Amino acid sequence: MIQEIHMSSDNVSFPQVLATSVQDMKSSLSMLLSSLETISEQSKELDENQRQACSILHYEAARINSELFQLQLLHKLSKNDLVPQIDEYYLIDTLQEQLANCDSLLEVRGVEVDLQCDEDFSWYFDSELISAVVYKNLVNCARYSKGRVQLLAEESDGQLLISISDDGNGYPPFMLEQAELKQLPEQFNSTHLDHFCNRRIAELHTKQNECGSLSIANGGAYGGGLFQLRLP
Amino acid sequence: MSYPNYGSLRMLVVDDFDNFRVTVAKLMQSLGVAAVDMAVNGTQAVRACRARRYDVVLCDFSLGQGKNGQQVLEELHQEKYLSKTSLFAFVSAESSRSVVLAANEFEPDGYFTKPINAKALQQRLERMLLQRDAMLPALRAMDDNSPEDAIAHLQELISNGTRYTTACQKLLGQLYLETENFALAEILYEGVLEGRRVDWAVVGLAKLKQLQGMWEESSKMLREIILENPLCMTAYDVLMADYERRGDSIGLQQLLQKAVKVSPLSLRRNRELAYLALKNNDSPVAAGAFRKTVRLGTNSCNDDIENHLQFGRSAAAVSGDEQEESRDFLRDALINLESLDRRFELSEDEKLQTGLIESRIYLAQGNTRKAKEVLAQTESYMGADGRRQEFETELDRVYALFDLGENTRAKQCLAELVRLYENDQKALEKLDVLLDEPLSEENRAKVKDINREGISFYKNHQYEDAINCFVQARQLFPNHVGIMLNLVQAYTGHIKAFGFSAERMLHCEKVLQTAEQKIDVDNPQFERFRQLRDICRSISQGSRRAPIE
Repeated sequence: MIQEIHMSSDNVSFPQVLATSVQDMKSSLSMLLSSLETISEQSKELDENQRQACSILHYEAARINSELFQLQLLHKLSKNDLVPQIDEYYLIDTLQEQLANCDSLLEVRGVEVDLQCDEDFSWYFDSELISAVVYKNLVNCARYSKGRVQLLAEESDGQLLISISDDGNGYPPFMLEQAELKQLPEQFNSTHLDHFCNRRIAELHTKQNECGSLSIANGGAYGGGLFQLRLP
Repeated sequence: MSYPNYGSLRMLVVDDFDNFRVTVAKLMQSLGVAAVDMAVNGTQAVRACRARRYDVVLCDFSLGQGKNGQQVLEELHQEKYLSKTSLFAFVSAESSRSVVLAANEFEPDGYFTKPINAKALQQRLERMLLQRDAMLPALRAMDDNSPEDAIAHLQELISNGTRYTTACQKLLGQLYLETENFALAEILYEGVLEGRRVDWAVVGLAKLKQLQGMWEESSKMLREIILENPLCMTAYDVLMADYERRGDSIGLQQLLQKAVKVSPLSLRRNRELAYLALKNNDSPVAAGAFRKTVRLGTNSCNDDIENHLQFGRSAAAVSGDEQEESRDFLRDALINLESLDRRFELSEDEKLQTGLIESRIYLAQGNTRKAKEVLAQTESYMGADGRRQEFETELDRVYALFDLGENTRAKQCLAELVRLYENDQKALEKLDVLLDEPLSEENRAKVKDINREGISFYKNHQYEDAINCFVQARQLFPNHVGIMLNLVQAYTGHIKAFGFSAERMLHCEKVLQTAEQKIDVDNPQFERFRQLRDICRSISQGSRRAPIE
């Protein structure tokens, strides 16, 4: 985990510096994304090479966005300072919002998302945290699917189930293995970290003796990767 | 889902970034919004809202120089420039917790985090608008000050089944409490909590219990929430009432300190903490909270010169124990005072007060020459126009004189103040801390209560509690000989019962020394003082002969 590193010259702590920098990066990213939107709107006039470049830009910008959120999240987790703010939300609102957030990315990559969720289906969760998990997975799907993604939310065994499935090649075996690990290994990579964060978010959602969980598998609605998040 | 009534909307977009403003405005025009106005800073935003009613205000949080978005919303609320039917949403790249918590203080209808694209913005906006339209009759009734009508509308909405049940319930609960419909409030909150334990319903229920006089039950619920979710700021706010009721100003200060630590950018709570710490004679906390109050108050409609003066006073009062912190306070306070006349139109008395406080700060910084110079200069203006100074000004003079060691003159001025204000309880309360024994009714009662409590602890051999009790009392009334002697007695009781402790003895001897300076043979408490001194001496000597672990 992130250690408190103190800069020797004065009383500035590294996490503090990082927090400020992340803020600045997010502002810059905001401008970058809005410029990208403008370009994408004209994408019909672009040639194939330009479209390709545009799509890469979109994907990488979305990833940075997601990584920055994760960085802030890890910072809070390292300080034991992450308290979920639970309220009731309509799933359709939360999911549509994340689809809207990666709208142009999905469009330039030619990915169709089939949203399956009852209009009136609501649940209790921290909307910011769960939105971030969904967003990150949609960005992944945009990269690894061949063009079809299913986003589903329903009640299953008394819990909320959010499933994201795609028609790509599925998770490689090493990732499925990694997902079984309960703790971050000493030598960890970014997929470890992603999974660790997602799981912590799930586990922070508790009700009486139950807590949230997640799983990844291959197969699913379209035969590719299947990501499932369950919340009590 | 699409919003059908764009054509009738009037919207205000506030952002210091041209780019974003123009993008949003274009989007709104493409949706068919009737009128889109723009503001590039907070002052313009407030002016626009004063001039006309907007259906929607989209406001960035950081707006460059001048007011920030939070201060815009603060002023719109305070001046009632926003009706209940208006929607206000922040659109901001600031997502740090302290900013979000501070922004929520004034209950915006939305907080949209940048980066946000056109589609997401449109979606969130439409959702807000659809909800508002569904609740419009209730919101209008609230604008018309008819809570009963609002309640009827909300009840009807809920019983007919609405997508906005939760929002309706939140509002309905508040209205039930406001109109003292306690039975209905209880049914509502309990009903919600049967489904799931959500903070807003627990806080609502706790508030209801307070109104019904079930204070202990209520406070227990609130403490549990704070433990589970320290970010639930409303729980702190509601819990404060219990401390106020019990007159526990020390406990209240601790609670506020905790709240301010969680949500550091709240002007209101920092100000409350500052004045409370002032009342509790806790100068370091007061100085810190006043400094933040002054900083957060910059550009706010709640900036008040009194906060600035109090910052100077409490900085000057911070003792030398916390050297580094104290130096910072003094430096900041002085800079702040020197720029006061640029920020405020100062009255004659406020000018004098500024001078007197500056003199104290110079002295605390070790610049005695400058302190004397500024004091002499300020005093030369006092009474020059044949006018009597305000109480606060004279009090500042007393402090300045005491600080400089001019005790005789200080005591003369103090005695004169006591004579002039003998019938003014508020004034007496402020003088009490300087006097050997308090004169105000409130503080006299307080001393009596604390002594009674401490003595009963002592009699029950709860010496630790007795010590804590008298230590707190001493902080409030530092010159009160009776309290000092009670504290000494509690220390000796503890040592006799539980054995010698060098640390306690040191504290005890310090108090005794202070008492010695205050007391002379004519004092009716002198005999008691002498006895306690002898006891302490024999304890000290005994400990040197045979140390007890």
